[in-house]
Amino acid sequence: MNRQALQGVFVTAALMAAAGATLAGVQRLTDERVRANALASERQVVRELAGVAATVPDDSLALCERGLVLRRDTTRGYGGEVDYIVAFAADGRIAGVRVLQHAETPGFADILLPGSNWLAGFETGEVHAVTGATITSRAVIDGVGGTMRRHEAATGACPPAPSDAAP
Amino acid sequence: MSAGAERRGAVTVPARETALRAFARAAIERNPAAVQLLGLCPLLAVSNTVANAAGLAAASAGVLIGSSLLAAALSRVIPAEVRLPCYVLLIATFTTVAMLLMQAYAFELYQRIALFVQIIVTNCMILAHIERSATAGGAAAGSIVRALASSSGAAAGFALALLTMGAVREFLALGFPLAAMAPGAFLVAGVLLAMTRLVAGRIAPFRRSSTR
Repeated sequence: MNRQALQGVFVTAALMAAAGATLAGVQRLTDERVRANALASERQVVRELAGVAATVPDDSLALCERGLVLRRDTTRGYGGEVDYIVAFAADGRIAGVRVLQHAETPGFADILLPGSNWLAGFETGEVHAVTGATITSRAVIDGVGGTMRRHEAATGACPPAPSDAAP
Repeated sequence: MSAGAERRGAVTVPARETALRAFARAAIERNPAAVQLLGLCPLLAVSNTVANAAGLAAASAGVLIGSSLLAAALSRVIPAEVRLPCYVLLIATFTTVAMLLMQAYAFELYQRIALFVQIIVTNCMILAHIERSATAGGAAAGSIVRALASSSGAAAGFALALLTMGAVREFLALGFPLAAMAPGAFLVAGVLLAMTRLVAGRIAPFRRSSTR
């Protein structure tokens, strides 16, 4: 190999090492904040689903006593995992569905935004696949259906708090 | 590709140019979106609101300026054969850093525009800019200063386009919801581009450097 080619190999390798080190460093620095942000937004969702404003019954026991059970679950969408929480009322009916995190194509994923008519459809049982976002909508419908079956199967004890169940 | 870019760069970018001039040229005359028509995918997709547009503009600016500076600083060290992979590596690193920072400090915004921050890495506007600015000046003295001037110019130009689109679409959406949706993006972009061309056609410097 000539000198030029060797230099190319060396420079590329050195840049890769530097890039890897930089990313590892930034990841370490931001990791705590990112986790805290994700947890905070999850808590916010729980709060909204529980229908309580600022005073939070973060522990699921308090929610359970009020007849509300929250279950956190995951389904496989178009771009990756879709994390969501389903709130079940005392009679087993779905009281609300909120999406925590997803990697679906922006625009097509608007149906997953809080306050979307489509997500609200779960509360009345009126959910259909969405043209253009077929995979995303079917994945969430199937996922929530599975969550509901598991909820119906699990009787008695209140589940652990959703935020603790996070991996 | 690099040979062609070198020749083209040598013609369009004079060796001596003040930093301010380089900034203005990159931002206005060679505006990435309006003149070069680069980076239109994120421009159309994320400009539905001013907040989204500002978020993407800031992330793109960070990646563009950061990788341009490093590319200029390393232009003497990186051999021509591995220039492209090295630049892609630089851009990918800065994009990932921008993603992590947004997740840490602008979580809500990131949740909304995540994909388009991730694909900054494939924004040809950035690679084209770095390739041109690193090869045009070669290892000439002051090339880092010029890289800073022209990359912040290009970033400002892209931000200008994004914010204009965002402002127009968010305003129009008050009366016409279509403006915030995908067809609205194309309509607004088309009208704005036509208006820009109409105005630019009457100003001398644009006649020479348009579409380049």
